[in-house]
Amino acid sequence: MSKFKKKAEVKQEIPTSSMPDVVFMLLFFFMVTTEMRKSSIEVKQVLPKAAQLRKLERKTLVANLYIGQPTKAEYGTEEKIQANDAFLDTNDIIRWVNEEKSKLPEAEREQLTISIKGDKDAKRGIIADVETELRKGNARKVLYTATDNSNQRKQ
Amino acid sequence: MQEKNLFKIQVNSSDALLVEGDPMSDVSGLKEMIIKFIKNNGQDPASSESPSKAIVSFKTDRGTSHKRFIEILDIVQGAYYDIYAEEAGVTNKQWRDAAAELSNPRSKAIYERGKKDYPMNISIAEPTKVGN
Repeated sequence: MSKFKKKAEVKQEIPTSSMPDVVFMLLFFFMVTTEMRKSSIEVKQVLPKAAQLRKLERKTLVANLYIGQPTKAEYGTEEKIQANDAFLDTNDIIRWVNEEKSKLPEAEREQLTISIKGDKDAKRGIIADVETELRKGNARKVLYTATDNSNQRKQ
Repeated sequence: MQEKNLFKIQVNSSDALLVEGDPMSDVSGLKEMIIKFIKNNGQDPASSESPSKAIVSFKTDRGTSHKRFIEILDIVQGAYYDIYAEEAGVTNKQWRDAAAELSNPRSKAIYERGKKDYPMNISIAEPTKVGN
């Protein structure tokens, strides 16, 4: 006499037939939503206008410094310097120059050109401080980016 | 360095312009003044002796806006580019385009013909600390 019936034979495995569907769905989802990391500029960037512009010859030798008031209120209203993805202090510029130089092949390191993208309302004071630091960091080629109609060019 | 070889441009913290000691509100004539100064070659004893000795000095204040700075620098460079283009026998824009592709020997010839006798002596001085 068995009080307990033997349990019915239940299949224990999880059905896996839909797994490829799920995997592909996830794969496509991430492929579609992923964005390449790009530096978003977090300082105001209305470049000054100029007429006597010159085009840049070799863009690979150029590193950008963005200067202007932060676009987000949480960073205050004081003008800031942005390079790549981060705000820089004026004291960090020499180190930044050396980092940028080390990214270039050895023969072209001294050709590094710094493009100062100053907002039109930025003050000369901060830009002059940056220039002084650049000189100390031995970055001798500096240019100001301005707009000509809609093209950005070397000034 | 002699005073007469210096063309002084100053901009204060409220973006007001002073050219050779005189206030200037309309900048349309500034380029001609600079070209005349650079190409003086001793004609006017009170102006520059030669293009290589002529220096355009540009002084700003810490409170000067970047916009104004670029506006004036644009005029000063424009003066030089006009001279270069004339020397090379091309238009201003053609000269600037040539300067952007120096790997091309023809462009390089235009570029160098323009610059040969006129070094670009623009001195951008450390800004003064009156305004902020």
